[in-house]
Amino acid sequence: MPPTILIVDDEPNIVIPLQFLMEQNGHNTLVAQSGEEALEIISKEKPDLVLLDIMLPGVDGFEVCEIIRLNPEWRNTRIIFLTAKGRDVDIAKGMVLGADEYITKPFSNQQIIDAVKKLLEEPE
Amino acid sequence: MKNNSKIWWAFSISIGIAAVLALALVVLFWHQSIQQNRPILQEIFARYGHTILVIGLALIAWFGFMFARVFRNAIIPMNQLSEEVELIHSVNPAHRIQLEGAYGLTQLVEKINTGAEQYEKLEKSVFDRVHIAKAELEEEKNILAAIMAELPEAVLVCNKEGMIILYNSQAKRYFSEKNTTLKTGRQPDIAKDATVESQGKAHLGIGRSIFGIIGENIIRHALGEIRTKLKRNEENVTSTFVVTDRANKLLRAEAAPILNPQREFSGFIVVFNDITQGLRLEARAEFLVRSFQEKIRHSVASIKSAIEIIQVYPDIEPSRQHQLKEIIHAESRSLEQLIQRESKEAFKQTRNQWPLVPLSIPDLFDALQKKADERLGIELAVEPCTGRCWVKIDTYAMILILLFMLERVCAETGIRRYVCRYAENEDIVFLDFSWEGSPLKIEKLRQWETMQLNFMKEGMPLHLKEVLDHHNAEIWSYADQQREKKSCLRIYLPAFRPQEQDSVRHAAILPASRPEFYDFDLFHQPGQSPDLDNRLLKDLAYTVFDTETTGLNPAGGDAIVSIGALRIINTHILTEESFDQMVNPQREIPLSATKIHGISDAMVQSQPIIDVVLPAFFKYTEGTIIVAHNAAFDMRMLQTYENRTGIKFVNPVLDTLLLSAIVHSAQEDQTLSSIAGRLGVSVVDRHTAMGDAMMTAKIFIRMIPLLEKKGIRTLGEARAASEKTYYARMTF
Repeated sequence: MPPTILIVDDEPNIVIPLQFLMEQNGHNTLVAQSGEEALEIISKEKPDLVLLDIMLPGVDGFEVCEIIRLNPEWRNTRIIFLTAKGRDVDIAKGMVLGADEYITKPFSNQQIIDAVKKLLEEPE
Repeated sequence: MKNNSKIWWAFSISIGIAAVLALALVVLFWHQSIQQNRPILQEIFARYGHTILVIGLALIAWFGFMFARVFRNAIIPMNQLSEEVELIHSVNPAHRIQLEGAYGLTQLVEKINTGAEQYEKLEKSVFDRVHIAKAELEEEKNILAAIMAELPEAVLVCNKEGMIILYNSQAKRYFSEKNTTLKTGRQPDIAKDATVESQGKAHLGIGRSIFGIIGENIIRHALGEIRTKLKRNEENVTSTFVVTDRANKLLRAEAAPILNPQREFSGFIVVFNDITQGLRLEARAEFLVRSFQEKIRHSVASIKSAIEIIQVYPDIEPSRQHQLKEIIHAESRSLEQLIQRESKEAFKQTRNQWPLVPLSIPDLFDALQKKADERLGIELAVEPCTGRCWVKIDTYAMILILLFMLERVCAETGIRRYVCRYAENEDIVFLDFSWEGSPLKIEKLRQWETMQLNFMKEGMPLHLKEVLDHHNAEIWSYADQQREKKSCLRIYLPAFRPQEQDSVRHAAILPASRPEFYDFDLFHQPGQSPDLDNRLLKDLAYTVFDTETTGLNPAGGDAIVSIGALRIINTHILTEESFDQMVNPQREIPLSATKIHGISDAMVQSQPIIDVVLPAFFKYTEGTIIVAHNAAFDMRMLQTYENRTGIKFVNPVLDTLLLSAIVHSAQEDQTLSSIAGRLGVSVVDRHTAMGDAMMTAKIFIRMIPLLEKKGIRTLGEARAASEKTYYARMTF
């Protein structure tokens, strides 16, 4: 069964290319536009990897990451922050919260594909 | 003891002494007479006893009378004479002695008065010379004070104990209580609420502690840091911290030590800058830059990802391709808007370290018109324009730019007359200089922009373009569409809306007298709280006050209607730190009282009640010795409110009535006016609390040297001597 990727971003203009990319690379995709929606989908669908934006309406990406990491059932879920927040402090914070990767926008598609592939291949 | 009592005592003692002497004479004569003569003497006494007794008594009475007369006409006047001579040569050379007494004494008084005239003239001439020298020194001091006063930074200078020696106007604005820097007028100038708000807060003033203004811990921390740095011989020995003022503005404080010639710590200076606006702008600018960056990242990420998909997957279905192209288009448009709108906003917020001031265009044209005529011989005709546009510019630099351009336009066109007009379009102001002929070529303008801004030996080491950029300004030349054959040079400047006035800098006016913002003598002040009684009178801080009341019976329900007070530090009266407050006594003011002090029921109706005023006055007197004339009465008035307000004045008290009785014990009249007359203090605003407080303060200062001559130098000695005077027994 192909891995499931959850794309969490409130900007459809970035979601569409990402969704296309993931599907082209043989992954199932799910989309959430807010932190709350993401958590709901995670609890139901248990995706293998989350592409997570930080600036989200309501619960932000940092909080979503923290909740995922605090729940033992979800501890194997891979998290990639995909965000416009490029300050060193943001990156450090994201990594401390338990993200597996932190990619700042703008990124190259190949960068995302490689990062997703690498994380999905890593032993849990 | 009063003079009449003294005379009666002298008279009685004289008669007593004379009677005793006469009796002693009789007894002596009796014992020394020969035995055989005694019957003869007995017979003489029997026959002439009455006559002898009457003559004896008459002699005794005459002796007593003469003695009392001498006492009244010579001895008492001599005492008074001694005091008054001392008065002339110590505090009031204009004083003249008016004594009645023996002929010789009046002659002596005349001679002394003539001598006093000479002395006064001599002293006046010395005084004039001293005065001139002092005035020169004062002027220098005043220049310093005026500069200090108008510095945009607030400055507090303290001695090593934290006592404030100097402060400037800005510090007063940041830290002083509005309602206690009161006016001396009678208008209802204090709102009740404002007074209530000030309760419990310390005052800013000379001789007061900085710890009352800024937290003690923060200052001690800063001083500790400074001392450590001094010990380590560090180059930067200052300590910086942030505090808030009364209006909760954020102030950046920088404390620096003041060292004496031996490099010992003798005080410190704290400079405060209002960073509220700066921080707000900085935070806003940072926010704008960050959000700008993040929005760009978002859009570029979407565009980049979509383009890469189109490149990598050229065969994707047309609907998907169209969707991606739409994303690219939408994000490019959003980037465009971002650059047009938000970057401009961010630019506005972040630039402009160059000091620009608001100026109206008519004023700018007015200044330019004169300079163009004077220096270039170019006539500028200003067209009347509606409205009054404002711009924010460096006036000097902008006029330089305009003269620089006009000079070159004139060289290009040969025209010496230009029509000036201005207009405003949204956020931009246009300044047009038009002439008949062709417009300037764009290359010419670009060439000028790269030239250094020099004009007739004036200028700055910057290119025209750089100075224009600092003003966010642009120049252009075009053919005027509305006016045939006319061309124009146009300057674009951002419009300024003068709603929020920048902090205004007042002109530094040299004061006629020394402003009371500083007292450098306080550098040598002993510690804040040593044994007060041992301290010299001239070194202490005083609050001199007076009350006006509804009557003279505090116990019978009379109440305060006005409190006037002043502070004395190092024998200087700090008139600018006065306390002048009317009080609503919550009862009728009798007409008899109104006739004396002029305060009527209507005048106190809108004034705060004593429960509000007394706490503020209590704060005002903190750390000072209280001085009043006939203090027993005024202190009793304050005491009547103890139960009601819970405020107890425990400061040491000095009474000028008692002090006057010490220095002028031979004088009968110890009223405020009489003492003022003796000491050469002018009587102004008598029977107003502030007027009487001022007079008392002046009197007190003049009494200090007189007390010193009597050997009374410390507070303890003054209090002890006061207690022994006749008037000290008066009660209310």
